[in-house]
Amino acid sequence: MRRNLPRSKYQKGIIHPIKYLRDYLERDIRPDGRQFLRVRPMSVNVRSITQADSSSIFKIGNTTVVCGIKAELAEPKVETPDCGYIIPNVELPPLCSPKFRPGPPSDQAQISSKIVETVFLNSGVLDPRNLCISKNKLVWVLYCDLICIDYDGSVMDACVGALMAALKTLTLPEVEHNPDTGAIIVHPSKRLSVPLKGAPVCTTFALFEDQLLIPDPTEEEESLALARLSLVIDGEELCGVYKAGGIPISQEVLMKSLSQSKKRAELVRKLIDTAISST
Amino acid sequence: MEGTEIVEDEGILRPMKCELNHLTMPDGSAMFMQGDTAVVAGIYGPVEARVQKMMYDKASIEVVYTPIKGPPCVDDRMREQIIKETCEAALIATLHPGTAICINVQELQDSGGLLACTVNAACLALINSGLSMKFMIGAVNCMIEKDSQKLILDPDTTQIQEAKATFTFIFDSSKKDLVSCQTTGRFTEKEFLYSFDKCKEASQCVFQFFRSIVTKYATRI
Amino acid sequence: MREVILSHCEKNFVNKAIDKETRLDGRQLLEARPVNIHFGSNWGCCIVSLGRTKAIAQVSCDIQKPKASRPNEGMLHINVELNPMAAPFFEAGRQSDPSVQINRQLERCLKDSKCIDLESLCIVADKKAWNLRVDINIINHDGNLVDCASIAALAALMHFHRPDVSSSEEEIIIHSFAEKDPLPLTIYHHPVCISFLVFENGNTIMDPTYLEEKVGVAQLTMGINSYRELCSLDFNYLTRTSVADVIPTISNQAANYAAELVSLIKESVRQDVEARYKKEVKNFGRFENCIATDKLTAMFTDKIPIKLSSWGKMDDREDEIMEDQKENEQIIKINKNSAELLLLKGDLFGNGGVNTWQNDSSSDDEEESSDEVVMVEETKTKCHVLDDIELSEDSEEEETQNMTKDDIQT
Repeated sequence: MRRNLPRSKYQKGIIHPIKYLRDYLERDIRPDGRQFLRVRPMSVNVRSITQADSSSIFKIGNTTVVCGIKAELAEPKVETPDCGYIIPNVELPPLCSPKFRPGPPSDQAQISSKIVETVFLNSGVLDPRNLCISKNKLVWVLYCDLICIDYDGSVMDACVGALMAALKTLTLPEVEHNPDTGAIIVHPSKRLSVPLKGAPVCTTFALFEDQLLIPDPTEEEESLALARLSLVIDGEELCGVYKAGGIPISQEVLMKSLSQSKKRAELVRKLIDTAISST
Repeated sequence: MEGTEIVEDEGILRPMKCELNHLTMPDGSAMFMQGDTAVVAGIYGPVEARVQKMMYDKASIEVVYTPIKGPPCVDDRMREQIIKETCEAALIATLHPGTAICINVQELQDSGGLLACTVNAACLALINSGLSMKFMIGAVNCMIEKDSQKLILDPDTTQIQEAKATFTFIFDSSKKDLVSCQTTGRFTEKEFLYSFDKCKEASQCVFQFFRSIVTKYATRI
Repeated sequence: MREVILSHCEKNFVNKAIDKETRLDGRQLLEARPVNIHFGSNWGCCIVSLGRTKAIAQVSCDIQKPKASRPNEGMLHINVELNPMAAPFFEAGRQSDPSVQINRQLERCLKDSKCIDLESLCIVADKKAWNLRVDINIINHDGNLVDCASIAALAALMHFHRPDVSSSEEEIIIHSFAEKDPLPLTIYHHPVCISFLVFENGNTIMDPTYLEEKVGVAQLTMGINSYRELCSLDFNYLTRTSVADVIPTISNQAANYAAELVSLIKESVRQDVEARYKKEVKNFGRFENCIATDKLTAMFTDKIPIKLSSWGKMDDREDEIMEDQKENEQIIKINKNSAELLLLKGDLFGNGGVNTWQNDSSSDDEEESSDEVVMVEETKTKCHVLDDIELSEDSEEEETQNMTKDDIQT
């Protein structure tokens, strides 16, 4: 019967995980000692995987996501002859949490990939036309592999953060394409960075009884939360509000989460910028 | 001063049409149309749960969404998840421990606001199935037009092509709070909150529709 | 969920009724249930109900490279999905035995009988051809799924119009419906499946219901077109008992009914298509027509106008939450490629639980008492981690020192 027990049950030997968490929350503190509106420390590292065209490691508390971007040349899709495309793929291997089993990607991994893709498309951070080399003939395809190596809640935040950090350091080699002969010459030494617009930042919140809102939940909090909410913020604008079910959220709390996530977005943006700055 | 940014307008919800008990096999079913967008939903439950999915303290809720054409894709997984979590919020699953409640939704035609239509159909089918619910759920779709910055409620396919951002809000009927939310495109906080507010108003019409259809047959049985 | 097994008394009851040549729904033995066809507003989309059995069909098309064995033909792909909505024992997304069987029967009836002119679907030989896909979803199961699916598939194919294409060298242009009128498919003949069920006592019935299907002994499905030509034949024993040859006795009835059915389908397709050509929006068989208006459980509304109040009053939101935090976070640059966001004093007693990654070689609680030390420690350990990752660029001498220090500490 192990499969349906919450993870913390057998991991920490807690008999009543819900009561355990509630006791903490009633004393105005979270099990890891954070105050309600406090986020975990974050850390980002870029360019450490030399084989990828760009890479990053993003950590939020224990949650760790590695992102590697591989650029390949391909023919464009028929509907969009002058647009390149990006294929994000979120992997949740058994390594990152006992929740996941080996085998084909789980529903959650598929949905996470989809969310990352929609965040990317909605934010318009990268104009797909910038990935076009020769209309109708040749475009760049960016395979973005996001691998979670430690699953401790707010994985979407880490995924989006890792993707953005990797995109910001992405350089593509110059390519010459002769439309008549179809010959392709790649100059691996001449690398140009891709123009980016903005940087969306995702913030996950967990919602508990009495509209108690906590940002950046750990896996333990996330699995016991009554609802989850993710906000994607890019500068002054929003580019995604996702809430799938759970207890209803009132407008005041929604506003509160908006202002909280704005603050965090600013911090994350600064963090990524500091990491990639050359000095 | 800020009122200039979004022009005041009268919103229109497309005509809603519905038939409960549309299918004979499921325990509860509904065919629901909003404009030309049509969906059929069927509920089985509580039924015997598969061993892997069985939960000892509550009913497991399974959602199957079938697109009208082609094999199911990742988008459909997303939709399934939203429907599942939304219905889970509305149903009192602890009343039927160890069982399964299967919610099946079949798309018939998509001309805008498919997700909203799907959720509304699922809610009607749940009402029809007689399962106990904490509250009803009502979904409203809306969009912000690219050029005019106008808010359009319940847009159809041609209107959506002009959209800068689209929102699907799902509300509960008791406290009128937000149960689920999905968005596309970029938008400002103000636009978001404005749409939220308007959709909340519009959701009352959806609930009113739900109520009147139940009253219509419940008073005569 | 497993299928519920039929009880003996139900079984006996049905058998006895068939003995007396009566059926539970009052039909004659060789009488089919009424067929209803409703078309959606897209081309090639319809809902068919055969009694209480309901199926939805949608035809779609895209351009693909034709098969190497048939370079100048388009392709036809038929897919029947036994939706779990139809019956609780159907499973989603899995090819079960009955679904494979129905798929195969429809393929034989529609594809192998060559009723669709596939050659006209070729655009450039060996390069590009239309690939037709018929998706049939069964949404309510009350027996005789094959017939219902075959009627839905045929009606959808007859109703379907594909976009026009014009090909210049190399490039093909697909015209939208607004540019050029769409084209219907060429259909040579119209085959439909007609099913029969043979009972223990040798009686044969047409168009069995779900209950009857579970009692019957042998199932017979004939694919017949309106010219009384047989296109496919499928005979299947459901139990171990054998029955006498029934085909001669019913084939005439099957052919007659097929002709009747095909003319019904043709008529309803013709009406809908003509209404579309004339752009009579009202007369389209829209899906709403399959909702019976007079039913107690049905409900219609007109457009609902909603007065939207003006925007201004939304603005009274106060930021009382903003007060709490001062500059509590600090971003520090660790080395060339890394940065870290730390929480300063006051929060240090818990920054995210048992935080194992921060101090991977040594975590001493005493050191955390002053935040400056923590930060330095952070820097060092971070470099240590990076060392492992980036073995290539080992230029900074500091790191070696750190490692030894760390090692000593442990």
